[in-house]
Amino acid sequence: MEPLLSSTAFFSSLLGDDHKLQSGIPQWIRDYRRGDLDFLATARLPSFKDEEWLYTPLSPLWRQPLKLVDRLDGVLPDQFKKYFIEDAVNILIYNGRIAGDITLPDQSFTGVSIEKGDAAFKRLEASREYFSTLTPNDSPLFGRLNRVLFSDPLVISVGRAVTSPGLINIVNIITSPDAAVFPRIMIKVNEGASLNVVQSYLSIPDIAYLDLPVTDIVLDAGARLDYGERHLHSTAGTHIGAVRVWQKKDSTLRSCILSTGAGIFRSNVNVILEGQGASAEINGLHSLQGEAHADSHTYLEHVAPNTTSNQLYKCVLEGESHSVFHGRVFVHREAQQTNSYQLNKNLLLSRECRVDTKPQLEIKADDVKCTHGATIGQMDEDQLFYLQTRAVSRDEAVRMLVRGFMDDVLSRVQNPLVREALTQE
Amino acid sequence: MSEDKNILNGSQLTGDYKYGFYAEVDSDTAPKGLSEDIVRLISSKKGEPAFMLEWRLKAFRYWQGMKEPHWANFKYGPINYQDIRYYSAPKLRGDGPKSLAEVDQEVVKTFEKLGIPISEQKRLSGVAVDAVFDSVSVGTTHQVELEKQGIIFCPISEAVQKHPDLVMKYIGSVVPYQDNFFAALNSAVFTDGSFCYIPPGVRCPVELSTYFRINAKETGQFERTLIVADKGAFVSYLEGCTAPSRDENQLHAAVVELVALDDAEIKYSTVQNWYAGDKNGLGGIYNFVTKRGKCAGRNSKISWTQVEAGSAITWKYPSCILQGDNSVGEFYSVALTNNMMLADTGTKMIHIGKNTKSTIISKGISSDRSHNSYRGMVKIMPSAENARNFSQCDSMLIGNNCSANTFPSIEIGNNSATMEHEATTSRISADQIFYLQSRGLDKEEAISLVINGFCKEVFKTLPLEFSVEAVKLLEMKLEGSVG
Amino acid sequence: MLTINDLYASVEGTQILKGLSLKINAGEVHAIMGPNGSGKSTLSKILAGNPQYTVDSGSVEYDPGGRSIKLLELDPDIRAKEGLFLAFQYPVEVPGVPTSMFLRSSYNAVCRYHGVEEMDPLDFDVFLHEKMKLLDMDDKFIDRAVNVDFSGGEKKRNEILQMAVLNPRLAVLDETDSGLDVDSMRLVASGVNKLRTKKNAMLVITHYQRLLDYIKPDFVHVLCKGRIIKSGGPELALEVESRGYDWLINPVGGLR
Repeated sequence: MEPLLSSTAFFSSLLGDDHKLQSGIPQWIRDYRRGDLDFLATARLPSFKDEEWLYTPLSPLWRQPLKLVDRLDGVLPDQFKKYFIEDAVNILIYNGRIAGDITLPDQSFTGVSIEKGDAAFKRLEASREYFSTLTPNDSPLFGRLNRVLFSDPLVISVGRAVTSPGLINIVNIITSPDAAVFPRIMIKVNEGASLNVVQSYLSIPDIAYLDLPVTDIVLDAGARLDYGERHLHSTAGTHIGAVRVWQKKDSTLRSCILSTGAGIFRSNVNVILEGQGASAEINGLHSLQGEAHADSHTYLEHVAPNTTSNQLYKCVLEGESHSVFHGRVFVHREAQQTNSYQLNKNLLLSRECRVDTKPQLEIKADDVKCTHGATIGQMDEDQLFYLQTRAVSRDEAVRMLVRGFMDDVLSRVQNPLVREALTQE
Repeated sequence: MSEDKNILNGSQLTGDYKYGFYAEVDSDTAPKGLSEDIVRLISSKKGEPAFMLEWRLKAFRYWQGMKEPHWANFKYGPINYQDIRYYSAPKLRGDGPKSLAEVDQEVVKTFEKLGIPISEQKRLSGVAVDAVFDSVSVGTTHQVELEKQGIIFCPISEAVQKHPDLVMKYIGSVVPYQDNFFAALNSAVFTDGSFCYIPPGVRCPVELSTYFRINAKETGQFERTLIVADKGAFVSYLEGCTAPSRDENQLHAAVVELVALDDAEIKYSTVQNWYAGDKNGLGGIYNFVTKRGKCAGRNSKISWTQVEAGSAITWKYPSCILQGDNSVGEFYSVALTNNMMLADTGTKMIHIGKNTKSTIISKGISSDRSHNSYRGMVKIMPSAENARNFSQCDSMLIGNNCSANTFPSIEIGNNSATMEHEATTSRISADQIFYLQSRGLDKEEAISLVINGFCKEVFKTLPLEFSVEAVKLLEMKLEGSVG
Repeated sequence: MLTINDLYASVEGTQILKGLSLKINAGEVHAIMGPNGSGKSTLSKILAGNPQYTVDSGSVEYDPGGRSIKLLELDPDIRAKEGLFLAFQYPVEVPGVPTSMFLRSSYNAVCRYHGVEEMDPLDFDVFLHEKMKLLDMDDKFIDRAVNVDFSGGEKKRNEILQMAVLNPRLAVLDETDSGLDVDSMRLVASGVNKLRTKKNAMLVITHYQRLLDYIKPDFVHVLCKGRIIKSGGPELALEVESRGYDWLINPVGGLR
């Protein structure tokens, strides 16, 4: 039997006092938190026996002395200035807190509202059905931890039939060593509207922290979201993030998650295609060096008929890095004429790296087209040789081929603003 | 449209179970339940040497401390291990069958009904048969000719007595009794099964074959098969299984161990058609089997082919440990589920040696309210330089109340590895059936043609006799497809 | 050979054929033309017995030689065994089933039905190669799974190959020209023409007149809104080609 979570340093440093039930948090959220705290007090630590955490050992986390960051301190170091994008709405989440006021610069954001504080809590209450749900791909432990400990929600919504051509750029930065941060973001795209959102997750090098964000996305009928995440974490950092998406009739999600891994990096993406004709594209690209680790869990749930999902996850591994892909596609009985495609490709560049991949299909409907695949391989020696005979050095040839391997994912990011934000140096 | 949907709702896969009769045979049965005494009783019935009894008792004691496994995708009713008879043998005149003439004629007839001639006059040419009825082997053919080449092919109970050194050396060497709950249970109470040893450099001239039949009520069948191919040897082994239709569930917990030494090759083919229960899921065999082969030597090869068409629940992962450099493991599988059947089957390929290669081809067909899962693992250890794997797992659904799942797991610990996994899910479409019908094929022929096309990569790996039987078996399951 | 009498038929609750009548005799080639949605393909599917289409009323008498059969009562495979052949507008892919094996199964199923001895694989191979020469097809073609990864032209040639193998009494060609370039069309049409005899008949369904340059019809019918609104000789096809369908659909409007 695994030890209880409540017996760890982790638990006492984060959940030791009960102030999470007080201070400016609406009553309805406090009601959820009571239940969550009861759950956490008796929860057991996940271990390698737990299929969800089989390849991602969490043991270092439980020993970590973490602290909650109550206020913003210090000035934002210059090195991060370049992540703010001209003409975009830039929102800084600094050590887990939304910094400064949010201004919408011009007409390209008419119909878009971005809220924090009480206004954001009110919006969350209006979407309680999503807020209160734990999806099948949520870790019950971390999902509840975020719900107990988040304090500064951000809610972005766009009105009916509004096409917002601009970019909303959320920059999460952690500079405080041993910080535990719990961003909570909700994006709601109303009927027929469309929006572009990118999130960057950044930190100063080599510090330890726990970054535990939850991003909820609701796409109403005919809505579209172009979404990107870029992760440049500290090698000692822990990121355990959840993106949860509910899609109504004929809505479209195009998303891409890029990372260089972290000490522990875990990204859970859960998409529920609950309206007919909804389609989701979920791509990922990890480039891992040193001892970096990246674990992607995706869960595509086809609930309604005529829904489509496409997944391409690629990983380039160097050094002693470790990548994990656990992709699930679940097709409900009613979801006839589902099309689902899932591919995980891994390129191994060193001797010591390690890959674990579990691409899974669970299908209850008979009129579906589902394909999945996984490949693991090395640099193609014939291609390298061919390039070398054309006067390209071996190193340069390797770089070219790796670039080609990765471009396959990047070229699928259709929205130019999102692509530019994700790929800028 | 609605009429058309009906064609494909899967009810055509409910052809009656042809092997559902049971024979009235006087049997010598142990009391129900499991204890050290029962283990001792089995060992003494078999006249085993002391080492065997010791091993059984160790396994039994280990098993007592183990928990029965229950998997997420996989639910079955509780099994009362004290309500099973662990030994049931057709009653014999004297101490044991000296020849087939001494075997109860009902047993011989039962096998003949199954189309397995065990009397020497009627045996199949080119196939040596060991027939296992409930717990004991009732007849092995071709023994004399095989002996001339030094090949040992006999019931494992006979091998324990006549070749104790070989049995002692290899039994439990691939599947130790600690391996899993059902392997531990089997090690304690196994009653028969086949033993096969091919000496160095010998290519076994005939297919070796065992037919298993569960006949008695409330019995479990716990056979154990051990095949050793010594250096440079080759053997092709076939296994077939049937059981009568009974309302209660019966447990079949077999263990199969294969050992291939340097340059040896073992080809193991199964057509499994245990009774699967009725339309509502009443009765049927729980088929919890541990099958594993070890490519112990360099350049050795083990190839599993299975056609799984029976059993209420199948839980089976014929696996290969690729220890020798350049060794090759293969797994070809067709699993057909209908009615309320559950099949969870797949393989593990553990790459340890350099330049090891594995291939997995799995085809699942589900209909009615059945569940069909592929669960597999490819593990490439850091020592396995230049390991290669190719996996392909395809599912076909017939009707809208069944499910098909694919759960592969791939762990790569060496960067020189190359692996590819592909999986698709499709259905037999109404358009396809209409197209074939408009070319003069009737509905059954059309469905059978599509299914055979779907499975052909697996069928072509079966020995000819079996491939004919496998096609017939699937067609039988498809009987009554019209209406 | 074929008598269609006042036929009404629907698909998914919508009535498409509304009182269609047509008579075809042995040795004749009939062409049916008509604008999109007029019911051309529905007619072919009803004749072949596609279960997604329902007959509301009317009858179809079929005489494959000396006896009359109520066609609509038969399963699709029995219709095929009785000598009716439909060349599909969109031939269906059947993965995993090699074309040669499919053709032999199909041929032998028809043999069994008529109590004729089946052909063994070797004899069939010789027989099949003769038929393939008619259509200028190479060996690679028959080793591949039925229609899988075939080009549009290859699929249509495969349909005509099947027709050559089964040697039907009545062949219905459903828009066999669609998606074909002129060379492929010429090839397909010459294959069809080689199969024309005094004993059998053909019903050629097409949207354009150009196929009829190669397969010369004896009669041309224009189908509109589920019924035949005009019948004539080959000259009718040319007239449709030059004037379109409007003058036939709205003859009064045409005069104003």
